[in-house]
Amino acid sequence: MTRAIFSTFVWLVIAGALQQAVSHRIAIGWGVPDFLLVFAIVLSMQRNGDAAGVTGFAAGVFTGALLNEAMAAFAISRMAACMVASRIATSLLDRSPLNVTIVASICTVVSAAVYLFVFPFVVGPPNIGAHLADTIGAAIYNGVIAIPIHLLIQRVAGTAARG
Amino acid sequence: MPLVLVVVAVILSVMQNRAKAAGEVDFVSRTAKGAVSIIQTPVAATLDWTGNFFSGIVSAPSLNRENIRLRARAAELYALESRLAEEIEKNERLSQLLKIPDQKERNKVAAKVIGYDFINQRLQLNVGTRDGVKAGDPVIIPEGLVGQVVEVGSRSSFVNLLTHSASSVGARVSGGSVEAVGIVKGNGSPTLLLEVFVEESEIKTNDLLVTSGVSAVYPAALRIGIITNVWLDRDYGLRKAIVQPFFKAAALREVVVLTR
Repeated sequence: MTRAIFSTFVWLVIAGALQQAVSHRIAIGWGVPDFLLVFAIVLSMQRNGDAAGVTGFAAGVFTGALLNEAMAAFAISRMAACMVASRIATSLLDRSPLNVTIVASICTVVSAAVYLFVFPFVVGPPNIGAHLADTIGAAIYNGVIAIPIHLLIQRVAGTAARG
Repeated sequence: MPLVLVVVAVILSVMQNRAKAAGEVDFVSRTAKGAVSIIQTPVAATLDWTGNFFSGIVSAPSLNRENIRLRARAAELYALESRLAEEIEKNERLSQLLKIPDQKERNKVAAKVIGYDFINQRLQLNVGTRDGVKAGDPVIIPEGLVGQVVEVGSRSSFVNLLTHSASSVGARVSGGSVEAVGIVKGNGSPTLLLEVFVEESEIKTNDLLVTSGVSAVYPAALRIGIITNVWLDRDYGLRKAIVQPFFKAAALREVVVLTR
C-alpha cells in the first residue's frame, strides 16, 4: 500500500515535470498532451476502482496546484476519468497498446466532460468551442503518448517486482 | 471513498482560492510545484540542449550558407566603413578649400592631386586647359601657397611645389613694422630658403611670410610659411632664413588653382 502510494507520487511528480517542461514544446495545434492525466489513466488501468479514484484525485490536485486554479474541478474530473479507466481495463482481455490508446482517449474525453460539468460551479463557464477543440486534440495526443508511458510503467514495475 | 475525495477536493480548492485572493500560493500548490521543479529544471535544460543540438544538425547547411553570406556582408561593410571614413575626411578637406577667400581677378578651380613626384617635387592635378588652367597659375590650399602650374594638358597639369629647386616667390614678413622683402626659393628639400635684400629689414624666427604681390604671378598676401632660422651670409651681405612651408607634399589630396 505504502509502496503504491509512493510510486504513484513519484510517477505524478515525473508527469508534472514533463507537463511543465515538455507538453508545450510538442504541442501540435489544439493537440496538447496532458502527461498528468495519461500517467494517471495508465496507472489506474492496473488498479481497482478506489485506488484508481485516489490516483486520479492526486493527479487532479497536482494539475490544479501547478496551474494554481480550479483544483476541485481537476481533481473530480480526473478522479472520474481514472475510475472509468480502471473499470474498462478490468473488462478488457488484454492491455495491448491499441487498447491502452483507446482507453486513454476515452478517459480524456470523460475527464473533459466532467470538468465541463464541474467547472461552472468552481470558477465560471468555459468557452465550449475552445474546450471541445482542446479535448479532441488532447484525446488523440494522449492516446498516442499513452503507449510509451504504459510500456515505461510496466517495465519499471516489472523491474521492481524482480528486484 | 469518492465522496470523501470530492469533499477534500472542494476544501483544497477553497483554500487555493482564498490564498489566491490574498495574493499568496496555498500550501498544496506550493508543495506540488516544489516537488515538480526538482525534476522539471534538469528535464527542461536537457530538452533545451537536445533541441539546440538537433536543430543545429538539421540547419547546419543553411547555417553554413548564412555564415558565408554574413562573412561576405561583413567584408562589404568593412569596405564601406573604410570608404565612408575616407569620404568624411575628403569632405572636411573640401570644406576647408571652400573657405579660401576670393582673390582679385582670379577664379578658383578645385583640383584633385592625381600624382606626386617626390624626386622632382612636382604634383600632377586632374585639371587642365579645359578647366581654364594655364601655366603660371598659382596653386594654393587653405593653409597657404603650394606652388605654380608649369605644364598644362587638356585634362591634367603639373605643378612645381615651392620646394622645387626652380621655384622662387617674392615674399615679405606679414605684420612687421618694417616689412622685409626678399625671395623665397626652393632647394629640393622640405624647407625653403629666404634671401632678404633690404638691409634694414628685421626678420626673426616665427615670423609669418606671405607673398609680396610684386610679381604678376602670385597675388599678394598668400601665406608661404614660418621662419624657423635666421642668419647673416657675410659673403654676400644677405640675411637668410629657413622657412617651413604650410604643406606636406605627400599629404596633399585636393588643391585650388587660381586661374585668370
